[in-house]
Amino acid sequence: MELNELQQLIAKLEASGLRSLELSRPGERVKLTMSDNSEVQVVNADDTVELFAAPASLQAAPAGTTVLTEAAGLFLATHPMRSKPLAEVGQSVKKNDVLGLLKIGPVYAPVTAPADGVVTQILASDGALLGFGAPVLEIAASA
Amino acid sequence: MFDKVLIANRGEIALRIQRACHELGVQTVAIHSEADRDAKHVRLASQAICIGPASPGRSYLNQAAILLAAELSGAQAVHPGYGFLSENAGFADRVEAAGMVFIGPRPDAIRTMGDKVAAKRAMREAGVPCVPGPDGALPEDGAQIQAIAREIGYPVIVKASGGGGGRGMRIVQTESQLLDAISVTREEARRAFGNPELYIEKFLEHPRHVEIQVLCDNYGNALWLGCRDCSMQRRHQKVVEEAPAPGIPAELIAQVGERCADACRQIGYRGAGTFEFLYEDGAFFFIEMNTRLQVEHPVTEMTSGVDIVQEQIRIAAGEPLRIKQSDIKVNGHSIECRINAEDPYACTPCPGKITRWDLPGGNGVRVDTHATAGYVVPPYYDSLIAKLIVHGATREEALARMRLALLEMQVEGISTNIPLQREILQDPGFCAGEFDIHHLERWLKQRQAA
Repeated sequence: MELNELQQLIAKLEASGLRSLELSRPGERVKLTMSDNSEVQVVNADDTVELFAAPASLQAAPAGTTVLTEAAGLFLATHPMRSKPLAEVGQSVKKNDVLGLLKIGPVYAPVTAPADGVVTQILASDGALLGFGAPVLEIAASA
Repeated sequence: MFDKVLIANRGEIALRIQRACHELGVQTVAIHSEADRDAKHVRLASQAICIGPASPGRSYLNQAAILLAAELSGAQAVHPGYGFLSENAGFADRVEAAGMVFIGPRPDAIRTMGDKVAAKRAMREAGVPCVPGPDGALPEDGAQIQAIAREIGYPVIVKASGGGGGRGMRIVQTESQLLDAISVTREEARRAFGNPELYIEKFLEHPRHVEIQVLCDNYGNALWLGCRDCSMQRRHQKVVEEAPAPGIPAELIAQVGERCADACRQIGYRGAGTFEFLYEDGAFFFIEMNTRLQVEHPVTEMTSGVDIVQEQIRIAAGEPLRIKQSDIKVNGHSIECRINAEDPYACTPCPGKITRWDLPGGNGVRVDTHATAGYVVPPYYDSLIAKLIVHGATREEALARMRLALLEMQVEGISTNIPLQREILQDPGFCAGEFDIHHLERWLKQRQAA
């Protein structure tokens, strides 16, 4: 990917207010993430690299935190370009990890972990139409 | 006909629209806020989608969320009810741009009627009687303004073009007060509405509020379904409504009704609408048109036999009207009392849990409500919890039926205005049908003084 193309993508990302953008085409894959200090992080990745890398956090989930949706949309347990679900029971997660996606019109909005913990229960079924404030999954504080 | 309609509202009107859809074999999508998760219309809908938290700005007024919910559900049309987005031309535009049908008039008709000066001009051109006064903005020149006011005759009322709901207006009794009133109102209008444009009208001192219900299809057919009297008001809020308006000759109402239907044909109006008039000394004066379903539509349904909401849906689906003007008769008399969760005399809202909810019944009694025993009236929305509607062969019969219905209705756990409604139904002025739009406020003041 050319530098000017990247610059254009970054400008669009900044203008749209989105937090991250992922683009893949044959032979290459680019993920842009806005970091908290507004600098753009560029990750040139192949399929094996973990996407949505979370910042390290020491905050743990209180026992049995239910993760709720923040908008209405179609719930996707798996990224459309992957085969493995984003979250499974027993999985350890860090705060801000992406645990599922909500398809709202043309946008895939991430459902993120509110705190560190372990996934204890998946409450929403893949492809379900979820409303605002609907339970997606439950995480418990890691021991 | 549509397969699926999204209802972008809550409370009794969401339930009312849902019933009309289900009767027509149409599936419904209820969008709702978190506060209405357990609401009756949510439970009874074919599909329900929570679109946001309790605050109306993030739920029932959230256009983007409603449009996405409509797309997710596959609804083909959106019914906006009353209030919320029902008179928002921009929302109607967006619904149509998304390939769905807005169950209401075309966006440009909503826009024209939302501008008071433009609406008055359109009505005058269509031959609808308006309040005396020019249908344009006032000039700057003092002498010209005085000449206009003199021609109208005092008292006059100075109004801001961008105002409404009782704001941005001033009554002028004599010529000596006129120019001062103009400059004060112009300054207020500039600050409050960002538009210093003023217009001037004859001030009516003891008018009644009488309105005409219309129904128009996409093929140039326009009907008027009778009139309603909504003069019993408090702080510009209607409290009791009835059909037909007592004591006004049927021929006069028919003349005005025909003018309204003509105006609809002339402007190519679509759907249901209401022409609001002031009525004083035997004459009608147009004040504004509401381009939506009204809270008080049931009294017209009871006397005309037409299901207005079903007709709205049929019209939006492209069906021609199946009735002619000659099929519409005014049958008997109907009265509606609005039951609000509020202190009956102070008028302050009173949300909370309803612990007892006994509804009246019997011949000629209809209750449109979303509440039940155990229902919690949320504090975020309108305080209307029920509409008590009765029908009788005569006004006297309807009054007697309403008195009994109000006695039968028992609500505990929250305060309601039922005690006030019971008193109104005993008021000699109201019972005689002799009341103007100031009657209820006057009566409340006297009651407080006593």
